[in-house]
Amino acid sequence: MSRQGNRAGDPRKVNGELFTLTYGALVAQLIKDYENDEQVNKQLDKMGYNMGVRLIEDFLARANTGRCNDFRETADVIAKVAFKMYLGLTPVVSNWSTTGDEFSLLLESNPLTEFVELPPGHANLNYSNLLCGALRGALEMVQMDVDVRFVQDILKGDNITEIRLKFIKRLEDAVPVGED
Amino acid sequence: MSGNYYFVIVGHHDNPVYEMEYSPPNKANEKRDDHRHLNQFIAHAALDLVDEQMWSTNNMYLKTVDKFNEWFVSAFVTAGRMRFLMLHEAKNEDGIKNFFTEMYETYVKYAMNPFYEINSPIKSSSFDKKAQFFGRKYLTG
Amino acid sequence: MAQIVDYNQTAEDHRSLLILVKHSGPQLHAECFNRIYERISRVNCVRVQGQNRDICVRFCRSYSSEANSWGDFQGHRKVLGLITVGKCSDRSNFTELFTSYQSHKEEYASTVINSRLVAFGMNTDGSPLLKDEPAVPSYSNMNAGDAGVNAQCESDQTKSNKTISHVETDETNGDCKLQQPQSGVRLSPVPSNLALSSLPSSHSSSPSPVSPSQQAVSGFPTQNDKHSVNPKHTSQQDNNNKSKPAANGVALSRTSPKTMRTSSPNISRSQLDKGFRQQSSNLPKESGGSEVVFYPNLDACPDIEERIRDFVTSLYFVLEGKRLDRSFERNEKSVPLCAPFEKKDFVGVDTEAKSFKKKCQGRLRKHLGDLCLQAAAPGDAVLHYNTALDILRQVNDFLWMAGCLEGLSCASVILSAPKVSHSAGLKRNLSFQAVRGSPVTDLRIRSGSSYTNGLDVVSDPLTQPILNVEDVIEKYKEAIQYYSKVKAAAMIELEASLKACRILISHQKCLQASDFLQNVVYISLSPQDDKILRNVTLASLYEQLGFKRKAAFFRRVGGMHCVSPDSPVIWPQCYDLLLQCLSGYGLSVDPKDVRRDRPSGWPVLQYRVLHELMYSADRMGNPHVAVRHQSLLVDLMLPHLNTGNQREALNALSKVTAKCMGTAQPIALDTGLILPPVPLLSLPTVRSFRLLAPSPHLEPTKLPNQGGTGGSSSGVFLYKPSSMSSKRTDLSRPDFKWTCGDVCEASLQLLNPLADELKILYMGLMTSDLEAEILPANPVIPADSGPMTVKLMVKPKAAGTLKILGYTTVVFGVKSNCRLRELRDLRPSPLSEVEVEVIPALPTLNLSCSLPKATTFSTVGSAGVNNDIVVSGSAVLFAGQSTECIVTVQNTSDQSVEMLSVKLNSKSEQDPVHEAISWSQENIQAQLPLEPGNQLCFSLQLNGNSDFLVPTADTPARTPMSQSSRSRADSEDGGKEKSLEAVLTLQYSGGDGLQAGYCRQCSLALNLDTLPSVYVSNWTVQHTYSPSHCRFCLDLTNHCGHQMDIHYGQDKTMSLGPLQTRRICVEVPRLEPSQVDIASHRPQNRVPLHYRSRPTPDPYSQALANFVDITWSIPSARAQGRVGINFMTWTPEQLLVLMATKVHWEVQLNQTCFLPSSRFCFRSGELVEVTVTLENASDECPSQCVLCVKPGQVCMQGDLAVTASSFAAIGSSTLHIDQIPTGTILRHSCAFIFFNPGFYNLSIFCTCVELQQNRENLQHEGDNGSSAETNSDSPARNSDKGQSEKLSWVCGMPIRFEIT
Repeated sequence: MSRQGNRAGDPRKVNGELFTLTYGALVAQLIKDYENDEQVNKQLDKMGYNMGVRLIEDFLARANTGRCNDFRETADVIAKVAFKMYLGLTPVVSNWSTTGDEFSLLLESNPLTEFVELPPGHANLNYSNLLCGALRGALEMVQMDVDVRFVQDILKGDNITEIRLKFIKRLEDAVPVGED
Repeated sequence: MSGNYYFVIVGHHDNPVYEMEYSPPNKANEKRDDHRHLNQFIAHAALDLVDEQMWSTNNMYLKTVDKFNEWFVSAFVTAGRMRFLMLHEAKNEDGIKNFFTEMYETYVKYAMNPFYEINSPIKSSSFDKKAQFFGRKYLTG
Repeated sequence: MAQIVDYNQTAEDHRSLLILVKHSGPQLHAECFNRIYERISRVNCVRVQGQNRDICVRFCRSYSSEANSWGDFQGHRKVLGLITVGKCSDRSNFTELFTSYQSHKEEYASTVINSRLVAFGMNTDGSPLLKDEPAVPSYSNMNAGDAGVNAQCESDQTKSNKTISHVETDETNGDCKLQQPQSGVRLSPVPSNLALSSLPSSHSSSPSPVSPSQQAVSGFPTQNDKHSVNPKHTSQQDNNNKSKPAANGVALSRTSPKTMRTSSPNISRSQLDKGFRQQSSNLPKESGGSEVVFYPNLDACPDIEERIRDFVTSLYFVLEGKRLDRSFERNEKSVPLCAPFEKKDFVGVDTEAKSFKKKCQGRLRKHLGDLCLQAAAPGDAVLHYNTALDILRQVNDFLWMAGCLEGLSCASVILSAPKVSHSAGLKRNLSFQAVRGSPVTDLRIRSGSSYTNGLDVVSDPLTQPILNVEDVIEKYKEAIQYYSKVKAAAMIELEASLKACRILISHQKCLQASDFLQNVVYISLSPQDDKILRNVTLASLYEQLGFKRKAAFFRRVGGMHCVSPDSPVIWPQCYDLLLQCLSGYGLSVDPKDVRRDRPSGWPVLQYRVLHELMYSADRMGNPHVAVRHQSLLVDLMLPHLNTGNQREALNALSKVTAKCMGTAQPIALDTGLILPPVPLLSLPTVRSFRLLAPSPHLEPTKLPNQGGTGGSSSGVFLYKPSSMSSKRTDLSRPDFKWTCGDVCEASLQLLNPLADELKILYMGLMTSDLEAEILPANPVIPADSGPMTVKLMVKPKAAGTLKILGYTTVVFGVKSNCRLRELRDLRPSPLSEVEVEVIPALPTLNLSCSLPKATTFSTVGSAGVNNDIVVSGSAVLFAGQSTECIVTVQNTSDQSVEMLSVKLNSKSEQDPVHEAISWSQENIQAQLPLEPGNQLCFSLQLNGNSDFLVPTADTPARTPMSQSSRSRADSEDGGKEKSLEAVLTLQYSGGDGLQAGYCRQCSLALNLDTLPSVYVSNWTVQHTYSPSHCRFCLDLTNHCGHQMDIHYGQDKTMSLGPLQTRRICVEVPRLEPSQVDIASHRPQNRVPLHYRSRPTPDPYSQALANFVDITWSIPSARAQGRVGINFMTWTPEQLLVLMATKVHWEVQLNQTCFLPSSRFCFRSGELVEVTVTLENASDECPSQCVLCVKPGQVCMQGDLAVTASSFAAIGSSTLHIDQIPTGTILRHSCAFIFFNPGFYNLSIFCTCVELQQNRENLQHEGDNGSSAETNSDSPARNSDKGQSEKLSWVCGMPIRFEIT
């Protein structure tokens, strides 16, 4: 393929298209299998959660960041370290609530949604909902019960993708809920 | 230079995947319906030549493969054997070549859309926009 | 008009001689001509005797003189030979024929070398086929005309033949002879003419008439071919004989030799000088010797091929002559050969100019090349062409240069032809498979002929290496380029392109070939050129290239030309072309051939083509076909069409179907093509298809005695491993059976794919293997409605296995047979066909009941047994009331019911259904068989039975007359309603079904509510004066809520208000033990009490019931019934009273006999003397008995044994007796002194020792009134001990007295 030339990259890294297509295939199949978008979102979130609860170990092991003293710190670590490490981009942390227990991650671009065009009639689909799940799962492992959801998505014509995280409570010795 | 153009992407089963017509700005599209049909008939007939010629060269761009009455047919065959056809009244080799390559890029991107099924008709406003843009840029412009 | 352009020309044609075969005169039928033409044109290659030259011939039916005028430019374009074929029955129209033949000759005189007239309808001798008399006048009266002929085409010498012909005719058969003289006498020329015309035919095969002239022309040694001819000649003769058994025919052939020899030269000569007269002077010497050939009919012309061959040979010799002769002459002629349009250019050019000379020279050379080519000397041709080319180049004579180039390439093609066939230069090409066939085969044909050319070349010293394909094509390119310079030569250019293309096709060089075709498209020709033909040719060539789509394109264009306004409109042709182009657009007339699972083809174009196809079919007046195609369009295109087009297509469909309905049969076209039926499978779209089991009350089941349970799951095992799945998956073999003559159903889920409502005029099942009556439906599916369920019904007419293949619809006037296996949208996976077993006819019964319908019936739908309930009835009865209802059974079928069995089953076997409901099976049997339409009634006896006991938490253990029980009774006011549910199942069968061992069953649900009438709250028995009777007292409580009267005893009546309780007493005889059957009730008693759902009838009560008849009547409800006492239980004490004893007691207190009525009163400390007299009237004599008298004190809570301190006994209160023989009287007396005042009693009994204990604790149990077990047991023990030694006699009378 002619474009291959300018695309052949670092052999240690997995090809981005492959990654994107893999995720895309996953979502497409889910849409085939489940009748409505809500269920698809739930599935994605569930998968993400199961990824998160594993990923956190890996993350803490590799990025030796100390404990976070407050939610703001967590936000920074998520944006600056975690996203960088796993998605190679650093979302902007903003829209802090006055109470300081709620903020947004603003993504200019989203590797998951490259090439993707939502087919008509899927307004409720949160294509990248897996991310929410992952964040939720990971944070839960560090005793934070957080509500994560998309509020804006470029896919849906918004001019930026925004993930909203809301701190609910601190979990005392919360045993992780296994894969349901 | 200008003149009318008819661009079509033909799938593996001789099925049109994407169609677009370009007519120079000065003479606004006054084309009748059967006229369009004629284009399609010509394009379809030209596929025989495309299929022959694609094997005689390594280039994706096959230049003008066929002509009928005032129409020339230029073709471009992708690696995946999607056939891009262009009916044009005026010779415009480079323009068409560029157009094809751009559209090829666009197509490849679009084909990466997990929700798009290969060989199924392309219904995408963004794709249309691109096609129109390149059309203006390389053909009618 | 004759087509100028020859679209089928090939390079090889350059070497062939063109012979025109003309059809002349109306008498020869067209197809006769075609047949003969076929035979003639089969002679397309003739080997010249003596020298191995193979001459190729090209025949054509018509040839425009314009095309002919190009003959000088390319030799193969000129008509060299002319054969006119006609028919004539007599001489006059032979003359016409001959004249027309002449005119043809005139037309092509400029080029024709030789010609023939083949006349049918005459004997080979030219005499009319003689029928009998009627022929004669016509024969004679046409002489005048003949004379004309003679004058015109007869030279004097021929007259000499007259005599000969006379002779021979004389020799021949009689009738001929008869008339010959007179005709001969009248007009001399007649027979001679006859003779003339007959002569050639007689020596048909001989080329000799030609050869002399040949000799004259070119001193060519024809010796050898003379030799070669003669044997042929003789052989010819005798097969003449064979072919003509007619007497005169034989005669002729016998005589022919001499006639021939004498006559032939004359004729040819005569023709020759005629030739001088007629023909334009440009070929002075050569002239075609004209021969007329007669045949009686097509079947009797065995030697025609032979003749043609000779004819061709004659042509060859002339050409060869010209060739040699030209090649020798050196001087340039003054007038150049020229193409038709050039003629004017040469007027007034100076003929001395060098360029002019060169032109002439070059063109001459070129012409020579053509001649060589035709004379099968391609080698020489190449040489000539090359030289010619060189010469012409100098003068830029483009047209002719092109001619040379083309000639060259043709020559080399011809030379290399045999090698070509070996060359299989396969480059990868999708289209190959398609193409390979055609070119290779036509190569074969050529290789046959051109093989000898190879030899020829070898023999030719001047052979030079022939061009390879590339060069040939190069040459052609160049040639075409030159041609294109010359406007007038467009036709030549066109043909050249086609020829080049054909060469390339034979070498599988698709792209180059297509280039040439491409060029063809752009060559514009004179308007009268046939555009259709051109496009069709292009199409077929593209097809050979494997360019299906191109071919389709041009076919369609051609089709459009067929119906273009500027030329005569030919719809059929248009239709055929469109039909052929279907495959190119990925279409087929058979819907099965088109892939649906993936996109295939270009919908817009497909729609268009199909539409045009339909339209043309319609226009050419074949609505059936039009309908077929339109339905194909709808079937294939529907998914691709938007709403507008859908409507359009469907309207079109209904328009054509208005003319004629669309059938489901294949249609055969004249071309032999079969148009398979096109079922509209998607109108409506069928989602699911399943057969329905008959409703339970109709479902046939195996008769039990037949072994195997209900038809469906017969077999030993309850759960077959398959049985679960079978329901799910195997839709194709349902596990139920249908019954012959029943209306059976299949249920379909239909979807309407349209945006408008879909009217289905007819929809019925499609069955096979069994006769069945289809009951169609005609559903209407509203627009974009969800799945709609439709039931299709069928009535099997015979037993066996019924195949359901699918369904038939009529939609938009199209009848479609939709087979299940073709349904794509069927969920789950499509099934091929459904087979259901049909059992022989069974009767059907209509069940009705005189009872009012039951409002609620809980057992409906519960446990399998009674889901076949068709009707229900309910009755409300007061306890003890009984009523009757009529069950009516009507036979609604046409089978008679021969077997009908009724059984009753209820939810719980505990219910006393059989006591409550009863009928007479005999009555039913008596009424069988039940003929169709008749009805049968039987009555059900319904009893409101009840135990009449005051309902309590725990039924048993009623201590008689105890306060507690009474109070309980009162608290239970209103009473409870007992409801009883039962299902009356009728199993019936008859007719063939019965033979086959099947039956049906339907059920009647009965709901029987029993209202309380009266309750027996308490009961007891009392002694009477007579020892044989006792008094039975009951407290009756009215619980029915109405005023009620109780009738008892002999006409004793008592009225009882609601909830009022009164006691009634009736005298009853005491029960003999024999009257009570304990045995039957023992098992019941074994059942632990708390498991018993209801009190069991008490044996004593049952026995008692025979003597007691208490009835109640409720005037207000107009109801009456009995009061049952079967459920009353008895304490041992009561039993003592109830049961008649065989032992008479007499007790005296202070010498006063004690009677139940008598009262005693003593003072404390007073001596009370008790004398007991016991008479054993029984028939047993117990031994080891103890008689004892026991005082006891009576207090409120029953009696209690008094302590010894409260009294003193004087004498022994117990007496041991060894034996009490029957009939003996035993007396014992003792006395007591009671110290405390109060009520006392004495219990006196005589018992065996070991029984003592039981007696006592029995006493106690009796006191603390519980434990019914012993209660009910003790009497039992007593009685059955009665038979043995062990028994105890108790003094029944309660002996009471007061101590003050």
